[in-house]
Parts: sequence; C-alpha cells; structure tokens
Amino acid sequence: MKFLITLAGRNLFRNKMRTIVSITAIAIAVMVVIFARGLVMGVLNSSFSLYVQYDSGHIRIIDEKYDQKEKLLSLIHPVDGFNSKGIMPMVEKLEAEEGVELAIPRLRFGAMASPDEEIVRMLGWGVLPEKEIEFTEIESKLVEGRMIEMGQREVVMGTGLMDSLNKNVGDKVTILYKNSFDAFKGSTFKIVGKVDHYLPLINDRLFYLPIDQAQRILLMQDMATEILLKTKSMSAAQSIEPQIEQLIQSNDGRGKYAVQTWGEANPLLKLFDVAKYIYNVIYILLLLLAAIVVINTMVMIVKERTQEIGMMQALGLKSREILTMFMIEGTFMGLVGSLIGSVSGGALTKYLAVHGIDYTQAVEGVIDEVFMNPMIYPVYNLENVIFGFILGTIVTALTCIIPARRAANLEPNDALRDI
Amino acid sequence: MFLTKLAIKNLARHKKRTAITALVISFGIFIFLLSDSLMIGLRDISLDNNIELETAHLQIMEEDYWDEKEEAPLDYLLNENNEVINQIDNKYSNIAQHTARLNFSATINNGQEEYPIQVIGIQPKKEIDIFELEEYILKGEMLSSGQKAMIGKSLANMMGFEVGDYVTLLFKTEEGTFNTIDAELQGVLDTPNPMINEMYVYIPLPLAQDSLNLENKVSKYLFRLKNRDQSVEMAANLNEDFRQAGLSIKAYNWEQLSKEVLAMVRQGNIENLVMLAIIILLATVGVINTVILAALERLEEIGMMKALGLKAREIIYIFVIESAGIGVIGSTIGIIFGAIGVYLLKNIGISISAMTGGTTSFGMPIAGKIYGGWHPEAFLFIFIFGIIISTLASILPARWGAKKDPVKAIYHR
Amino acid sequence: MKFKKVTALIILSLFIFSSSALAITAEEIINKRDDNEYLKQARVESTMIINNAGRELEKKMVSLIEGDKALVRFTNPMDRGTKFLKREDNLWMFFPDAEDVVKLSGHMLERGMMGSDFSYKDMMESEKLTELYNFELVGEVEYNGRPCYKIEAIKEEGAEVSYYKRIGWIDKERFIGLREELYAESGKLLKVAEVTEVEEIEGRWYPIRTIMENKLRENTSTTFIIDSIEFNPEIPEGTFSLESLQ
Repeated sequence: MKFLITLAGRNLFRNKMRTIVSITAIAIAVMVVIFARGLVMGVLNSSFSLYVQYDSGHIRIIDEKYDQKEKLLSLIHPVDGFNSKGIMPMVEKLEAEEGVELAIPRLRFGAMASPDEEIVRMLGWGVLPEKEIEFTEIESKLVEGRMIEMGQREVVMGTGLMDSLNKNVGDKVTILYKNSFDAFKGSTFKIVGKVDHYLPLINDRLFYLPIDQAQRILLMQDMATEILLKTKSMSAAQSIEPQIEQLIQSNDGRGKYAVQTWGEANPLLKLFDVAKYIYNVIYILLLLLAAIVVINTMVMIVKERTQEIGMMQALGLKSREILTMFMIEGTFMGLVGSLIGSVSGGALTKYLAVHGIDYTQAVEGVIDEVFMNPMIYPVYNLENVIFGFILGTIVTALTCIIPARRAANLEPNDALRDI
Repeated sequence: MFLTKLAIKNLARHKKRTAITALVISFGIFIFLLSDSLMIGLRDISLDNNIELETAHLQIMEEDYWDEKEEAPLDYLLNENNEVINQIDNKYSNIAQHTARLNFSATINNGQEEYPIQVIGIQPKKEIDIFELEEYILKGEMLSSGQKAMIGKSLANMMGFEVGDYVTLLFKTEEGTFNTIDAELQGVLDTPNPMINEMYVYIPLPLAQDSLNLENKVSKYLFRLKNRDQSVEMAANLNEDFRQAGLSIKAYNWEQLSKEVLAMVRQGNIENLVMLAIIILLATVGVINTVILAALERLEEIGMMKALGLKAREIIYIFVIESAGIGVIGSTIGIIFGAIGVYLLKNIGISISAMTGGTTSFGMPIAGKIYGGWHPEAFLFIFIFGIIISTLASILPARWGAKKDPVKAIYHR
Repeated sequence: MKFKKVTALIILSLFIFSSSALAITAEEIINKRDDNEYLKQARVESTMIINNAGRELEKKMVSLIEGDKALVRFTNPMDRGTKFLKREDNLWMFFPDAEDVVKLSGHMLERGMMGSDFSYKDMMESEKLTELYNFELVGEVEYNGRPCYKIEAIKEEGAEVSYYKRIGWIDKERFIGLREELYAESGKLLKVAEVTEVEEIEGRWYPIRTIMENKLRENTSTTFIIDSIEFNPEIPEGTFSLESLQ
C-alpha cells in the first residue's frame, strides 16, 4: 500500500501542470458551489427585503387587537412595553435575545395636510432614527438634507409627497391628525430631509418623525404601534418565534401581545416558498455542473494515461492496485482542491456577507430606476462550507474510479498501443 | 483551407476528446437555459397576482382620472357605450376581451362597525374572461346580477359577514347626497392579493350606476390582450391614436399600473443575473480546464506537426479552429437540449408540492405549478457565448504548446 | 235646477278655497321654526358628547355667531386652545401646537366634525333649507305629548345636500323642531335627531338638548347641549378675522 501511495505521489509531482490544472478546477468548482449557496440565501432574503423593512419585519410584535384595526391606523391598541413599563426596556430585552439583530419600534398614525386647500393624506411614522437607518438604509435614499434627530420637531418626506405639498427642505408644514383620544389636532414641523424611493409608500405617502415627537403629539408616552424584529434571515424568523413568545409571556402576564412572523397568513408567503424551491432547483443544477466539470477533468487525465496504465500492468501491477493508485491520486487532488476551494469560498462568502455585493455599477446605464438594494448579502453558513468540502472530495475520488476501471481492464497490449 | 480540413479531421479522429469538451459546454448551456427559464417563471408568478387579479393588461381612462385614481373620484368618467372603444375593438385584433368598471369610495357597515372600502361595479360575464377572480372564490359563488356583492375574506372576517348576509354600503352620489346599498353577499374571495381581500367590494355595474345616479357612466375600461407582452406596445399605439383624434383619454400598460410590484420584480431580475453569471463562470472554468488538459495531452502531436514543417501560427490556427468547432457542436447540443427542457417547463411545469411536501414552511397548504418562461434572447446569447468562450479558451494553451521545442515535445514523457 | 247646482258648487268651492287660504303651509312652518332656531347673532356656550360604539368623549366650546360667520373656541381640557373660524363657505382652524392657521375646504368638510355625527358641511349649510328642499305638510301628530306638524322634505333636483329626504316634527305651538329623521336616497334611515329639552329664552323657543343618533351603527350618537345662549350680544369688530384665531 505504501508503495502505491509513493507511486501516486510521484505521479502527481511529476506532472505538475496536470495536477495544478486539476486542483484548480476542483477548487474553483467547490468555491463556486459554496458561494452560490450563500448567494441564493442572500438573494431570497433581499427579494423580500422591501416587505420586511417596510411592513412586517422578520417578526412583528403588536397588541393582538391591533391586527384588525391596522388599516384604520388605530391608536387605541398600542404596544406599551412589558406590563406597561414603556417600550424602551422591552426593545432592549428583545435585542438581547439570541438571534435578534435589531428591535425597531414604530408609531404609525394617519395624518393629512391641507396646504393649498387640497387635502393630502399622509402616513406618519414615529421612529428611532439610528435604528431606522440600520434597518432600512433609508439614509442612502436621502437626496437632500439629513435624517431627523430625536427631540426635534422635524420630519423627513419623500419627493412625491413634498411635490404634492409644494414644499421644499427647510420649509415648515402643519400636519393634521387625531390623537389617541380622538381629538383633532394640528402641529407644525420643519422638513429637514428629502428621500427619493421607488416604493410609492415611501415616496408619496410617508413622513418620518422622531418617535418621541409622535408620542408627544398623540399623547402616547412611551408607546408604539408595533415593534419589528430583524433576525438573520427569513427562515431564521420561524425558528426564533417560540423563543420570543416565551420571553414575552415570562415578562408580561397580560396576554396582550401577538407575535407574528412575516409569513403568517400572508399571501406573500407562497411566493417566498416558490422562490426558495426554484432557487434550490437551480442550486442543484449548479452542483451537477460542478460535478461535470470535475468529472471531465478526471476523465481527461485518466484517458491520457492509458499508456501508463498498460506499462504498469506489464510491470506486474494488478488491476486492483492500479485502481487504488488512481483513487489515491484522485482523493489527494480532491482533498487539496476542496480544501482550497472551501476555504476561499467560505472566506469570500463571509466577507461579502458583511460588506455585500454592490452591483450599482453594473446596473447604472442599463436600467434607469434607482434600486433600494443594489446590494446582496450572501449568507455565511459553516455547514455549507463543510458540505462543499466533502462533496468536492467525494466526487473527485469517485469519478476517478470509472475511467480508471475501464483503463485498468484493458489488455496491456491494447493500452500500450495507444501511443 | 488545408489547415481547416486538418482541424476538422482532428475533431473526427478523436471523438472521445471532442465529446468530453463539448459535453461541458453543452451541459453548461443546458443548465443556463433551464435556470433562466425557471427564473422567468418565478418572476411571472410574482407579477401574475397583480395582472390576473387587479390590473389586467391594459387600462383606458381619462388622464385626469389617472391622477386621482386612488381616491376613486366620481369625476372624469367615461361613457359606457363608447364609440372609441368599439373602434379599438375593430381596429386591433390582439384584444381578447374588454370590460368596464365604475369605482367609488364607500364605507361598509354591519350595524356596529363601519370601515372605509372601495366599491367596484363590474360586468361579471366579461370580468371572468379578463380576471381570475372566479378561481379564488372561497365561499358562495361568482357575482351575478341584481342586489348582490362579493367581498374578500379578510373583510368578511373582520365584519362578521357570511354568504347570504346583507351588507350595507354607505356613500355619496355625485351631488353629495347620501345613499345606501343593501346587497346580498353572494361570494367571498380568498386571493393572493391583499387589496382584494381587505379593501374591495364588487357589485354589478348597473347597481353601481343606479345608486350613484350615474347611468351609463364608467371610470375605466380594462383589457386582456392575447399576449401579455404586447401591453407596452399596444398602449403606445393607442395613445398615438388618441392623440391624433384629440382625445383626453389615455391607455396605461400593466407596468405603469403595477409600479410597486414591478420594482420588486426588477430587483429580483438583477439578482438572477448574478446567479446566471455564476453558472457561466463555472462552465467557462470547465471549458478552459478541458482545453488546457487537451493541449497538454497533445504536446507530442504539436511537436510532430512542427517537425513536419508547420509554423507556430498555423498550429495555433488549427487548435483555435478545433475549439471553435467543439464550441459549435457543444453549443448546438446544449441549445437543443435546452429547448426541449424549456419546452417541457413551459408546457408541463414543475409541481410545487412535490418539492415542498405539500405545505409551506409555515404549514399552510401549497399547490400549483411553476411554468418556465420562454426567453429567445437567452438562447441566442448563450449559443454565441459558448462558441466564443470555447474559441478564446484555446488561444493561450495553443500558443504555449506551439512554442515548445519539437524534440522536447515529442519526448515530453 | 241647473242654476242651483252651480251656485252650490260655487259656494262649496269658495268655502274650500277660503279654508286653504287660512291653513298654514309647510314653508311657513319651516320659516317660523327658523325664526326661532336660526341664529343671526348669538353667543353660545355648549357641550358636545360623542358616543362612538361605547367610547364617550366630551367637548366644550364657546361660539360667537353673526350671519354666515362663526368663531368657535374649545374649552375642554383635551382640546383647549383649538379654534375654528367659519366665514361664508370657508373654514379655518387653529391649533396651539401649530404655527399657522389651516384652511379647509372641499371633501374635508364632509367628515364628521371632531369625530361627531355632525359633519362640518351640515354646520356650514347656513343657506336656508327652503331653497334646497321641497317641503310638504303631511299631517298633524302628537310627539312626546306635544302637538306637532309633520313635514316631509325631499331635495330639489340637483341640490347638493347630504340627505335626500328629511322628515321633521315641529311643535305646533312653539314652532320648534322636536324630531328630525334623515334619509338616504335609497330610503334608508341614516340619522335621527331628537330634541329632549327645550327652553324659552328672550321670547324664543330654543332646543337645549339634542341627540343625533346614527342609525347605521349601534350605540353611536352625538349629544349637543346648550349650556348658555345669548341672542344678539355685543360682538366686537374684527372678531371674525384670521388674527383673532391666533
């Protein structure tokens, strides 16, 4: 056996070019396979990111009676913290939970303005500016001015809304609304920023104001209409939900809150699953392609060495021994190639998971619309890396067998003749 | 031409080698085309909800109405028996069906709560040809005529309505006078479209017109074309016709009608490109890899050719032509299998429940199929790309091989 | 014989005609009621209790009225500082937390005022109803122990009013409205206004306590109470100006 190993080793070393080319092919195939998995997950996440950021979060916590009244933007079923102690402690406790990346409170209410005797209906969002920026990248959509700051009587609006109101950054606007006691009120705010977004909701209807201001004018001290949670991915949301329900139950005995994952009773869910399914199919196709690339390489190599095989047989090596030798070579190349591939694939995925792929450049000039998310964040997962590594090694080792077997079964004469 | 002939002969002589290289190309192309088709199918599903349930392929309305369409005003209405519409019907043969609607705002009332909704007066027989509403009827039946209504599941649940109950709609006529409709709930819809489930109440068009004192008036016309992709062009043509006739009405294609959904879908398109790029990358690596190995294998052959007097340039030429040939073969096979695959996808589709086990990640039942899309540009692109890559990949290895010393090459083992 | 018959007919018809000349018309009844209830110039302190499906809100206000102008100032704690100014068909609003005055018109006016069942538009209708409706006296009935004229009004063709039909019970002796039913064009009863308390002030009968009930929603009504009313008070110049709003 040792003799075979040495032989295999020498073979590999002697034909450096061939070995390097093979290992490179395997490495790239493995790297692509690993990266593609992360990319698919990232793409799935980002396809629905708009919905997650501006509607449901990955998980949403509301008063259970709020659901029905949501369209009316009711203020009488708010989230007021654990046992009415205020939302900020609740937000902090939620963020401390494992798997929760961000907890974002929002206070949403209906409002209107009447600048030129026309009624402009609007939607007000009382938010924590830093959290909003982290969660939705709204800051990157600012085309003028700046984001709102806590404690200030200011708002940020979309381009469409500002056009309807005939206002510019720096102007003041008087907003009419009903507070939580159903009293009709008006307050004046200064417009400090303008965003440009292709989502009509953000561009034409919505205005941001600091949550403390919203709480003040609506007489909802320390309250919000909902708390959204950001988790690692759409799928992660489901696994974390029980944990969140547990947390709420143990901290608040009123049974007031409902915890909803983004997909609950939502027609969008079907789309997500279909997308996941299709991307999985494509991923499998990719795996096949990678396998073919590796197989292809191995076949080429073995085919080339028919003469060598004949020589070895003539020298007395049994078929089984020849086969073993090839397998050793194959396994070795598989291991090395897969190792390189998985390490680089993993590193690439991990790096991009943090920094994201920015394809704005590629898109510019091809498509006019400005995209909210010209960034994809692949999902880094250690299991994928290990999977890629094992797959690469096994496929390589196995694919050596078939051509090797056929070659090893040739008569030495036939083999030698193939010069 | 001797060189070309030689190149082709080489291909024929080493069928196995040719086959192996071509295989990578074929497979790569096959997978590329299947993936592309599936992604289009996915995109279509996202859009379908909107088109098949809410926007149709094309809408015609007064320009002023478009600006305020969210408010469903009672201004800027069109006549129901419309010469213009008839003319359009006659002139364009790719219209499958058209219908008219009258929209207005109202509140729906169950004796305790009231809730703002939008009422849509429809022509049920024609709507069935344009929209898929009938397929989403959860309880009861499709709207017929008379004092009947059809609402979405969420609205029905919220207000506690069952089929057969009477729903009260409160609204103001054009003159600002209150009026009510008490309609029997004929059907409850459960659609993938939240607006329909929560906000719309469908009633027969004549009932709407009567109650508003707007006989013969409609808000807009909606069209189904024979082919959805003709929407943009059709709208442009119609607008040109309208402009020439000096009319103030305009045609809107489905993209304009679904801005929000479209934006999300467009974003998905970019990401799809990245996936496809990866597939191409992998296949390219495979091709290059194979070509290099082939070159390595044939050093002897190269040496022999040089010894026979062929110049380096000519040797490179042979290799490149060979690779181009392999590219053509591979691309052709790939296209053929790709076409078969896409054809099957488009017409038979893949059953969703097979993969997901019949339920979604949240345990809700899921059924149906995904159908692939037909994207001729992809075929053309990948066919040419396959040949180009194959050709280019061979240049460097060929040059490298051609430079080798003939003696060394022949005895390189 | 022929002559006698004719004479009898003439006498009979004279009799009939003279009776109708003495009978009061629907229009006259309405006008007399308006004389009582229509405020040409007044200072009113009032309370409005809004009952919305069980949730109750109370608002108190002080109003100065002169012709088609009115200035309303809210005095209950929740709304203190809010003021409305109506001039002809225009409505302006002032809120303490706003830096400028807001002008309202159009659709906004059709909303319920402050969430009540009285819409702004109804309050804005200072145009006399006689011009918008066709009135008909349909009978004389008793209501809550008081003898009343029952008058049915259907809107004039093309009139832009909220209610298609109104049926009113007007006290025969005091010419004050005691009940009004408001109907939609379909004939469905939408609202009922009932006056449960009246008072004679400075020779005029005035409804002190009125309940407007929303017939389409259970347990939903608005009660309007006059706490004090002064007819023809001294109203200083410039009261009904935008400046006085701030």
